[in-house]
Amino acid sequence: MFPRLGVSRDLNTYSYEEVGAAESRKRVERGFIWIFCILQLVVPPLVIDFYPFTTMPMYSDSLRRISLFSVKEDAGAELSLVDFQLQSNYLANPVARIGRKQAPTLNTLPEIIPDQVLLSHVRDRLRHYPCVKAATVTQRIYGALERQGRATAGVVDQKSWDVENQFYACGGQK
Amino acid sequence: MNKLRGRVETLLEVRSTRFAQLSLWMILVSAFYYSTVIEEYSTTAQIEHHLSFATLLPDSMSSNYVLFQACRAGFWISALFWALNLALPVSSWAATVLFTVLISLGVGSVSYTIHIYHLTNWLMFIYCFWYQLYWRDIRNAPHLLLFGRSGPFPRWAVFLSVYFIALSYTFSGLTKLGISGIAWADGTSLQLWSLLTAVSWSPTAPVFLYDRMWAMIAQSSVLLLESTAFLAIVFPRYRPLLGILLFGFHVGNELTFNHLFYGNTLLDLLFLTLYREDYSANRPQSASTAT
Repeated sequence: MFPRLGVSRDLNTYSYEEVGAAESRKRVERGFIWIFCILQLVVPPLVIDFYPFTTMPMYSDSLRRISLFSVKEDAGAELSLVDFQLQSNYLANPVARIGRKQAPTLNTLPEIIPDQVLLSHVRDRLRHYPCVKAATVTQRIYGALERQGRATAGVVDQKSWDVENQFYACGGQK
Repeated sequence: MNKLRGRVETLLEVRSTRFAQLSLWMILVSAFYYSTVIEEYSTTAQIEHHLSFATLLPDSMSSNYVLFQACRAGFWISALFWALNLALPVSSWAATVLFTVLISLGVGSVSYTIHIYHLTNWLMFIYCFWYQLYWRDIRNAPHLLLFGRSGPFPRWAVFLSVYFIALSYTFSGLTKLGISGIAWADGTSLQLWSLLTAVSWSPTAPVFLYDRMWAMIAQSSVLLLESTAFLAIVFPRYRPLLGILLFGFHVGNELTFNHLFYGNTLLDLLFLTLYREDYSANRPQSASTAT
């Protein structure tokens, strides 16, 4: 058993072996303290995010506007945004060291997408939905706004598109 | 430099305190909770950045659900042994290593990072090292489960925990300042996060959305609190207040977004506010009392 130096026993009552072991342990402890402190100070800023090191960068961006989509079929049911490549890949982390690659998306900027770009993209994606006759795509831009004299946040711009499915072929009908 | 060395020497003192066992249990409770929260997502998506050492492993290991579950079960068993001071120091190392691997596998399987696990994991490392050096004393303590009165607890175990807590919040604050500047605290971003990602039952999100002034006050407070958290390292008397302020910050955070920082909330309060060290014990005696 190691002697507990600094607690209660008088140093003179220890054997040479005990004092040697305690001194050896103190050397290890000193080394651990220095290494831990330096490691935690130096490594996180270098790697930003490499578990278990981190600078905790989440929510360090200053979000001003963000674009969100919804896609509904003619019957009103929501369709998968990932399938339509219209999902938001926003992570609230401006220095995100993204691990697995995110799914591709057309939704990269907080601005209304030009008609031609959106329509040709959605028409192409609808080929994976032969039983959906038409889809309604809505884009909403969220940002800061004034409402009843108060500074708040909400929808600052939005647009909807009705897109016919050129690949509609459900039950043999076209 | 000599002053710093002298300070390190004082950290080598050992104390007897019930806090030692209590804090270990709380760390393990936090780790247990996070071990139940973490999931490994099966994905074939390409790795863009390595987020943990697990992603450096071959796919057969980094995306191996059996390995993931085995780490979880192994952690639970070893953590129980550690909590009961059994099979030392193997149980302490096994619990720490398995928890680290478990979280690394989970973190490496997704496209984003969340930072709820780091504090608990590093505190486990610190305590594991304490057990490595003192496990014989701990095992031979007369009251094994209540060894706080007789077991040796080095001051550096608490100091390094406080150091990590304070430094990680400081990094978080400085990152906000470095990336977004002081404009980070203007309230707009908190309003948008509240609008789009707050939990439906949040009592705080409507307050932030009611008027930007409230969001700005909350963000400014967080920025100031985080950026100056390092002061707790050099000014021990600031620690209890910092613990309470961080507790308030995390409660507000959970009431808005429910980010699951429960472990951090508990451990911040425990190490910063509830642990009271007798600082006067290490002060040199004044001339009058010395004579």
